[in-house]
Amino acid sequence: MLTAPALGILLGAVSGLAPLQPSVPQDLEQLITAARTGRTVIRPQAARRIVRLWAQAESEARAGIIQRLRDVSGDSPATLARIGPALVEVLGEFGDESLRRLLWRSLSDTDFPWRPYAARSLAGHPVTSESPRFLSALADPIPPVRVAALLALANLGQPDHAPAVRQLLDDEDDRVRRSAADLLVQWGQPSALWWLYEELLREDHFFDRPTGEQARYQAWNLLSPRLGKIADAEPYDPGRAPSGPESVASLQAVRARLLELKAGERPILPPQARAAGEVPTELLGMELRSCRKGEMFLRWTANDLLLVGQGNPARVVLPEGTVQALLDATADARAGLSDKRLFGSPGCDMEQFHVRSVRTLSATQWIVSCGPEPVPDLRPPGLNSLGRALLAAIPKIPASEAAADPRLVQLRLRARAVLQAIGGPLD
Amino acid sequence: MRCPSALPTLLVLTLVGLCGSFLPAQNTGRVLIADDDAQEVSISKLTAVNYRKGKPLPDEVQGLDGQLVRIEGYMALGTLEGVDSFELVPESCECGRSKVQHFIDVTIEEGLTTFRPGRITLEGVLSVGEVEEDGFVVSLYRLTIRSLDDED
Repeated sequence: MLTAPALGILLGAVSGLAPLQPSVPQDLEQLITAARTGRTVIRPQAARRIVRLWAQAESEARAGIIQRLRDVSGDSPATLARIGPALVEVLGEFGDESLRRLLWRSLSDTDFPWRPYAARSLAGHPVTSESPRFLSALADPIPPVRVAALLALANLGQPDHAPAVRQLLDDEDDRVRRSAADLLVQWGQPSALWWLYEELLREDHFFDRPTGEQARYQAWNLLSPRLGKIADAEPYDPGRAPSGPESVASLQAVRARLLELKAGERPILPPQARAAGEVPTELLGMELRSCRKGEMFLRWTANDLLLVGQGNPARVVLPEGTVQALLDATADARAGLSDKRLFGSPGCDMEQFHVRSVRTLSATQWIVSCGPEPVPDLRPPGLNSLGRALLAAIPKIPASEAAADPRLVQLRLRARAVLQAIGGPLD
Repeated sequence: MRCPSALPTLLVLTLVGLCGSFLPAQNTGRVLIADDDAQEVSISKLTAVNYRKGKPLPDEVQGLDGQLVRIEGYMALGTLEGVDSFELVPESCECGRSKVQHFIDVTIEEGLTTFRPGRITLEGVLSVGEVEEDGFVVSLYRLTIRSLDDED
């Protein structure tokens, strides 16, 4: 851990305007340590300081910093993974070809645990020849990688790629949709503002998490600077439900402003991009977030629907009685878990099982979590049973339905793969 | 340093204790202190700010400094058992927790932590502004609560 006096000297050096003196190696080591093993909140700040240290150093010291970063990064995705996400996220900023090659190699390796960080690292200072690779990354299975690819195209300033970006307005992930809309507006396509507006209408939840409200705040951050002050109505407040009386007039004023900004007629958006409001009561759910396999959000409702995704989820009709039978079949397994709710330790891999009591409507959660290294027997037998039952309750989706909604493609297969990547095999 | 406004915190909590109406909590046998003056604050509002070190926070966020608030969120997955502080986050995953604007540093005045995976509601005095340790900003938002047993 860095001490206050050591950091005081270091910060004076980093924040000053004068070129850095030969203390760089010692400062660098302290910052590398802080970026790798310091408190979670400190790590990205320490990594960012290394970039500033490098930017303000003289050429010899700069070369030394880069060499040290090459040394700690090693020469393979496996060695790069060990330096942690904070350092990976800044390596692309040093203008060093070998570090950049290693980042691309790691981004191409689906087993590399910090792919979003590598993608953002590369996207911060992209070079024109990398355009095709960033275009390919627009189809990456992990949403933050797609967002980073959009950032790279924005930084490259190549509006001729707008058709590819426009496809992501229909992405199943709201972060990707918002980033695509934001970029298209930057590139002079105000019609994309309607995708940001649609997010303001969301009132959805994922169990007790207000996903709609979160989306409203994020979308409003992007939309409001473009609208300017609207004098004729109360300012829109993303904290208020869009269907509430205070919001109706504000939203009407926003719509009027979009027309003034030549956003055109409000389009009919595809289901995954449409605001949905509330969903039927969810009784069972799996929230899967894998740093290697991506994310899946599945819920089983009291009226026998399987909901896939957040926001406006895809709806799969299940045979009547399916969900009650699932609850009955897994009661013993859930009871066997006693009071323990967290298995493993925090990390980028997490599976969360949600079960809502029909009687009290309160939900119980069990979390299985780990870092980038697999942990044997991480998921306890009770959750293995629950996971198996839920997996078996995912029906085969007819090809015609899957073709209409990408969230339904190979649903059970993908869920099994993500579960396996996080908590290990279910069998 | 946890909370620079400890005295106002104590005063407010004392007033809450003296003036608040007492309601029985459902199914727990606990007593909740309900204070109608507590301001409902969305954790999404706090965590959605575009923060850069040294850049002033939006007025409506700065205005919450020193206020008695009620706020919902999740205990961060890394919460240790048996300590007097934890981070409150908008989602119970490790996604994005490394950014200083993405969590609220919660201090418990009475009692210690036990990890709860579900959404919790906390009431206490919010402190807003950069707190630095060793030159790094370690928190933007801090909440002092009386006890986790009061959590709804």
